[in-house]
Amino acid sequence: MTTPRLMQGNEACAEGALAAGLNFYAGYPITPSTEVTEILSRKLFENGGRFIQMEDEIASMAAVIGASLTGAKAMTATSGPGFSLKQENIGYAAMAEVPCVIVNVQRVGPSTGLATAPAQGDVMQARWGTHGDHPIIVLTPSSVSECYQLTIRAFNLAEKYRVPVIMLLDEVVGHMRERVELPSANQVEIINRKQPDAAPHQYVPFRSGYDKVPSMASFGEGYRYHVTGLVHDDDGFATTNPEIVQSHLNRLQDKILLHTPEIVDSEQVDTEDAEVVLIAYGGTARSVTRAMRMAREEGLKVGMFRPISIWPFPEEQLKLLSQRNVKFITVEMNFGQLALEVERVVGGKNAVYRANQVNGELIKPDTILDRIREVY
Amino acid sequence: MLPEVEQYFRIEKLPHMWCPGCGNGIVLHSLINAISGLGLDQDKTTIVSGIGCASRAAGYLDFDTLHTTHGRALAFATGIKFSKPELNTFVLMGDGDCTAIGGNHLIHAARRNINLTALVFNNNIYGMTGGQYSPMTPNAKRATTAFYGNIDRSFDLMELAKGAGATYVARATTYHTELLTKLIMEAHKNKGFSLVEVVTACPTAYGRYNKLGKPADMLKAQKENAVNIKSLKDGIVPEGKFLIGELYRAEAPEYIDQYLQAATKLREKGGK
Amino acid sequence: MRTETVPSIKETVVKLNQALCKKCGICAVFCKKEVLVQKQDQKIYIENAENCVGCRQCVNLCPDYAISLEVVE
Repeated sequence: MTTPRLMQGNEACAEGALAAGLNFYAGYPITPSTEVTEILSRKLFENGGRFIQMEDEIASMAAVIGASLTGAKAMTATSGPGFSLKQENIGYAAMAEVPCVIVNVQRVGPSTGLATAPAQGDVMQARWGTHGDHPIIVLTPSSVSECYQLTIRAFNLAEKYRVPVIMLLDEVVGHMRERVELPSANQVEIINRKQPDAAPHQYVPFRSGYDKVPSMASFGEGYRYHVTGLVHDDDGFATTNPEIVQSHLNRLQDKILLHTPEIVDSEQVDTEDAEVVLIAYGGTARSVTRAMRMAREEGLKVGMFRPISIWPFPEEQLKLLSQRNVKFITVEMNFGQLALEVERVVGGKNAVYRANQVNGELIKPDTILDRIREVY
Repeated sequence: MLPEVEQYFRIEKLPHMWCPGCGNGIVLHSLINAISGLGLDQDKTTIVSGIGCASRAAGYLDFDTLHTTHGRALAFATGIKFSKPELNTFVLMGDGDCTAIGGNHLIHAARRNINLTALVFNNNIYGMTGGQYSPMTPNAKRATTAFYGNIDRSFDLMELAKGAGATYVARATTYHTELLTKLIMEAHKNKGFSLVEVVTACPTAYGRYNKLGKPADMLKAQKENAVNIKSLKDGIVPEGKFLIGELYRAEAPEYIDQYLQAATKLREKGGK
Repeated sequence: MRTETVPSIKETVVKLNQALCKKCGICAVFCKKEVLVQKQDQKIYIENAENCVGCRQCVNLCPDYAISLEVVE
């Protein structure tokens, strides 16, 4: 491990990206994510990588996809309003199966909202923001070191499954500073996209094996293949043939469904004997941790279930937990978004409550403690 | 099929999807003649296109081809070129694709003077969606969304590109195929942002709604209304005519060169 | 049969690939020597091919690459 350092969440995302092999970044200034862009504008310039500040978030997302098609590991960072603008091209990356990472540091919305205040109102947008059914992976850190670790994981998942991966932070996690011990470079596992084994003239760009993930040649290596946002066959050319359309879109879904057990990630704290389990993620999980300690001191048996991958949602882990007669409280800085998934998965077997607040402040431990007492 | 261009087409994809008499096929022919004339390495050439009739061109060409989202081709191409500068990158767009939804990316690619060649198939209309007016539809002309005549004024795409910072700006028509080929070659050789506008006919929508006759009539009109800038005596373009040829050239630092030179200098100076 | 582009005016023969031709009529209008003719059925026919002077207008202006010029040795 390297020597411990004080580091900001946004900075840890930037460092994690560099550790993962980032060599292309396109961004646009927007609070509260701008530090990621600023840090990488210097670091990439210094280490031979490519940084470009584009004219808007749409262009940033487009440039990231273009670079990834030449073999680069590419990323962009933004916040709500920019995240909304990027959606169409995120959908393109999903359809054309182009690996890329998008950091969204959430702020209070909708619209301009509160630029410098934390919220978690983009959870459903991260899943369904772009039109049409599409594969996507969304990870959410709740500490600075997790910002670092999960950004590396985001790149590895993007490369492994040829899918856009979203890092969903909130302003608290993005802006806070914390002591971190980062692994040294050789301790970091790097995954690269599968290269074609066929010769250029035999290369079928979107054919895949049992794992549903096609190999990916880079532009400029003689494969001379076609990439489009239109529904396409294995050769990459547009098709309207119903069977091929269904099988192509099935594969895009299956690519994530098949590998959900490896993608899904969650943490449980003190749930073994818990009577009430709080479900929280991101910055909220930090307040919940404090509230749990206070509740335990009052003899209340409380635990936390913390999704680290929001999409795919850690469904099996939650189902397992719900087999015991525990009550759930989903604590979120929104009006109840991941709560919908919780309630779907628990399916009425257990009592499910919510604790929601969107006032520009992190939900305080006392507020959560009050809710625990009400529900207990 | 002409042997010297056959190698650049995905033959099995022909005949292409464009309507009888649509000029896009002619533009493509000149583009291929230019690429062949430049002797570019087919494995190191990328065609990026947006959405619309013109943008379907990418699928017919045997290169690394990228059919992107509407209006965003130049932004995708910026990512490709900046990440891998050795790739010869041509960006094919329709007039709506490039100057309406894509306008912001057009002016910034030009401002940066990034080494891309933009080829704008200007048929004065949105063809794919059935004939709505575009920023390049002349005032008073008709379209499905300008039934009583277009109220809008259209862009002067040449002045727009020049004003934004492009260092090579040219125009041709689908009648002047050999001039078009030469202009595309010069545009590619220009180390910076180059824009070639091609006046092309859309007989099905624009031609029909404005009673411009058959495809051959529209080509004749291009021949009669185009004035080569070299033949302009007193610098005044006659009423109803438009200029073709190399309209503007300038010297300016190229974006990627600037970035790489500065980054290399920094590293030679010992980094931070 | 190998075909070759015409460097200068030689004995040339126009070839029309009907499978690619969309009968837009452009070649017939611009062929000065009326080698290419569009008839009532809108199809393009090659007539008095010997009049061809190899000016290549048909090749250049065909939007569908349906026309090629062959040099007769």
